[in-house]
Amino acid sequence: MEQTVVKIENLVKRYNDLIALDHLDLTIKEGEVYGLLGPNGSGKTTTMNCLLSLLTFDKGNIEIFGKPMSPTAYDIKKDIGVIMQNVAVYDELTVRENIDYFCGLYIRDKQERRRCVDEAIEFVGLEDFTKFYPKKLSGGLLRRLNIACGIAHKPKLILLDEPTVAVDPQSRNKILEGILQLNKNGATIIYTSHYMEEVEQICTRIAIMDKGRKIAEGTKDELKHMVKNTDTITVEMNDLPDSVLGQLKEMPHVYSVTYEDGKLVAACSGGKHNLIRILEVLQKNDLSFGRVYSEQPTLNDVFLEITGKALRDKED
Amino acid sequence: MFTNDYKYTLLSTLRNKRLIGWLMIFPIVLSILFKVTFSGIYDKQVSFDPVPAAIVEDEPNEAFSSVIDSVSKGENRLLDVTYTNEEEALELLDKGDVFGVIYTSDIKLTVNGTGIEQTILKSFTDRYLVTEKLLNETAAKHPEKLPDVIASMSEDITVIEQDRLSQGNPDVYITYMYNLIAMVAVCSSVTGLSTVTETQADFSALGARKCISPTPKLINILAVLCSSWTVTAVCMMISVTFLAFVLKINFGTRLPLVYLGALMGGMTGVSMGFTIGSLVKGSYEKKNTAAMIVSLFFSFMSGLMLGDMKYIVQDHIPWFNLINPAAVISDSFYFLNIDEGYERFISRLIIMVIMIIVFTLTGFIFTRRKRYASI
Repeated sequence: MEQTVVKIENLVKRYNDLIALDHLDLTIKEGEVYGLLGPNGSGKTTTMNCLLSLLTFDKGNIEIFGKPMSPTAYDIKKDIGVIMQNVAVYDELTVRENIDYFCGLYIRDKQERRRCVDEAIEFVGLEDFTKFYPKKLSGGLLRRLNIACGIAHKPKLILLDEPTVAVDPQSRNKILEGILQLNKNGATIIYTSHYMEEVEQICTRIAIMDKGRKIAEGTKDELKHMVKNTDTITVEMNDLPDSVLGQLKEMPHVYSVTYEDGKLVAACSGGKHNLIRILEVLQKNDLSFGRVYSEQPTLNDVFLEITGKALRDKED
Repeated sequence: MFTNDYKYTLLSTLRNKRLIGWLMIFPIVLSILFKVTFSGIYDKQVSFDPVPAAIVEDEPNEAFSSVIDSVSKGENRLLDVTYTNEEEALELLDKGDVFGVIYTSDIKLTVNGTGIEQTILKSFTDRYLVTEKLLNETAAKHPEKLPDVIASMSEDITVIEQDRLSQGNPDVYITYMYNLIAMVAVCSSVTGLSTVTETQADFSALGARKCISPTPKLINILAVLCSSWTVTAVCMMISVTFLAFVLKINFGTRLPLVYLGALMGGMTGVSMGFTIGSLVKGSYEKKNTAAMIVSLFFSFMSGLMLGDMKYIVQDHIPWFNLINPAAVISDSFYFLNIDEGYERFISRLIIMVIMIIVFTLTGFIFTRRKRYASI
């Protein structure tokens, strides 16, 4: 049976009048890649900081590896790796020295540490940059160094707080692949992001957060089943008479149809062959059309459905 | 864990060019400037020329005359005196033939300007006035001991001369160098700020990363503090070495103690910075500004910028000179400079040790918090 690695119960964190975490419950099992998804200010980072005992909280319990977490729970901390949102390295130390320094906060034995550092360098692909100072690294390489510093000691639980912010697509893919590899190697991952594509791509289970509350939780598919929308069909066409628009609205399983800027957008809920049926209506009315495509619902749709606002309202 | 922590924070601090520049280049450059500016004065000092002075005997004062005689005779005499009337004395003063006019009636000194010679004359008359009171009291209460007191007084005044001649230390030039070392020591408080900025989760991502590691916070703080102490100590040693062996500043036979004073001073400055950093909330710039303001305030109050300030403080709030790190550091050098013995120097070292302990404990108390209300 999978062990519970993280258990958060009824967590409340207030900043004066602002409730940052509102009776939050989370349970994360061993081997999961657990995503915390939410817009900026939803409480993801606060959750992480409370989990790490960096922040005080007003109410609730936090257990990691079945033991209560506290600032002096060194036996728990030694098995946790953290990759912060902000790069946390010494500018005056080289890549290798930085990794060795942070690894040294966890591992005393020099030989073991050397091996861990070598493996971390190889893991993030910084072999050619070991003598570089952080200022000489590109944004993507710097993020990789940040990751290496957080995982060199081979933690069992890894917390990643928006590790791909301001990273180029190539480095982003490399980072995401690395996270999956860490998970394959046995680490449980908690991944926070407001990039839903990333969360969809790597997380086995996802919690969607808003205003300090967990508003939904489940696998990617489970979450998508929560929304009425099953597919969104878009047809590019020059003209659409109101009569045809009316016919489309009357179709079964189509619950919303709009025509704007030369695009017919039909949101469907359930049913099969919706695309073919819509095209049949257009053909019957002798209307020509251009590009046609159908999209599956995204986590943004889930968020929109639950909160009435887009997940990426405040996208940076 | 401590060794690794210490090693890398030390390496990181040593590679911080801005910090090293401030701690090492600044005193070296400033000492060169001092050397260039004051070298003329220094040459005068080391040539041991007696100070020309006019003596106006407006009233007979045998005791004073005998003292004047004792310091204006011999090969290494302190004063080169001319006995004359007031009018001629003032004329000599105007012409620059003498640096001061001393009236025997009330041991009043008139000078026409400021400089080393005027300072020597002032020191001489001040010393005499202090001793004169003792003379009068002895004459009234124990007349039989009067010859001994006069002999002792003559010895005292000869000490001024001997100090100047043999150790060559009470000169203003050397004092400037000591003040420079003291000021650098106090200003190294900026180095102590890193003890806070690198270990506090609510201040930097670096601090947060350390706080979530299994290394106890106390060890993290101690490692950064020790590395700051080490770097400052090294910089202070290099500065003193530069002064002694490159600029050939004559620290006499007490150079090892100058090193010790500089080392302790640097540690005091760093510890003070640790406390300031832990007490002042906000950004690094805010902490840095506070450290500089406090350092400069202490330096000012100890006379490192305005020579008389220390004496003004000594007259009005003497206790302040004992709690002002800059005053304690500069005093340690001053006493090392002028005292034959080591008592006052050691007392200042002890005060520095107490300050280091108090500052460090205060810093620990205010940074020991392990969880934060906000980050």
